[in-house]
Amino acid sequence: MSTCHRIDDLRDYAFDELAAESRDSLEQHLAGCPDCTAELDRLRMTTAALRMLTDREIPQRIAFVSDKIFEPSPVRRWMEGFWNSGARLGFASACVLAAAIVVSAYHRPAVNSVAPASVQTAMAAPDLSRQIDAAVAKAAAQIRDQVHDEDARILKAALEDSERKHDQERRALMVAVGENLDFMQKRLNTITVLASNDVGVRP
Amino acid sequence: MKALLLVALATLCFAGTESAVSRKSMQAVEDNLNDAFRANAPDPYNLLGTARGSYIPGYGTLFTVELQLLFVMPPNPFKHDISPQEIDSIHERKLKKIPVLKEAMRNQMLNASRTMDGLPLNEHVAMEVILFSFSFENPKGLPQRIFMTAEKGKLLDAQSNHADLSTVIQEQDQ
Repeated sequence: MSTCHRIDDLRDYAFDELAAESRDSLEQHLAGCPDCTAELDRLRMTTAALRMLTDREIPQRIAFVSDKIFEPSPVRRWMEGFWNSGARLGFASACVLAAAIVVSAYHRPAVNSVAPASVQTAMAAPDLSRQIDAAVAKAAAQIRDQVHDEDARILKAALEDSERKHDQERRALMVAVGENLDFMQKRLNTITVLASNDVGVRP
Repeated sequence: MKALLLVALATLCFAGTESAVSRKSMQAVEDNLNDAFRANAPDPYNLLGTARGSYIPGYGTLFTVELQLLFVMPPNPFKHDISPQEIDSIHERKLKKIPVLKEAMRNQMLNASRTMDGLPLNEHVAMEVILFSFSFENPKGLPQRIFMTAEKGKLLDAQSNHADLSTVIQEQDQ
């Protein structure tokens, strides 16, 4: 806390309540007084903190717990007494259970010769499973047969195509071989004839 | 008189059995043909069947030769495939050689008509060239057989008149 003699002016200055003529002189004083400057900063921080608080209305009435208005109603007092008493709660539970037994005894459903659906389902489950397995196996067998037939068909077609190509190639090769043999035979014949002519041996 | 008649009859019989064209003259023509078609010329022919001559009385002589227009070797272990470019090249060269071959045939026909003295002037000199081709070749525009025929007298007249031989020779391509 500053011990400067102008502390009161400083407070008014912080709250913008200082007169204009005193404000100038105080500002000159603040320039040369570090204590007053620090005090002014503290005052401004306090002011800023106060301004951050929300405004609240002043309560119009202040009541005390001992007032009659805060006493619970008789029903509430009975309910609280009931829920807070184990004996009462146990008795009530026993009564509800007994009533349930009596009602159940009088409204017992007739024995049905037809088993419930869940039981039927449970009993039929193995058969159903077997049927599903059989159907799945049958479908799988059909698909397997179809795939097998398709594979066989494709393989057969490929084999036929291959055989056809092979046959064509073989025929072309035979033609080429025959042609070459014919060509060579003619060449040989010609050479033989010409050689015979050259040596004077006429056919 | 009887002897004279016998001699005359024998001469007639002998003349009836003897060919008008001697084998020797035909053989000379055959040799000429073989020599012509196996000449060591650039891009020569490949003679595959030597010349064979036949005389048909009343018609004339026919000479047959088989040859390949070019030396074309078939696919073999040293050359498995013939490329399309090679096939085109062979085809083009063969097409160019057809007119050359025909001209050679005409000249050989003229030589034959001069060589075969016994052939009557009104009979024919015919020449047939069979052209060999492989199946892989392109046959478009190429004949398999060229046949030419002309009367001997007309051939000799064309020569003496310096006329074009193609005007007196009938040609047939198949």
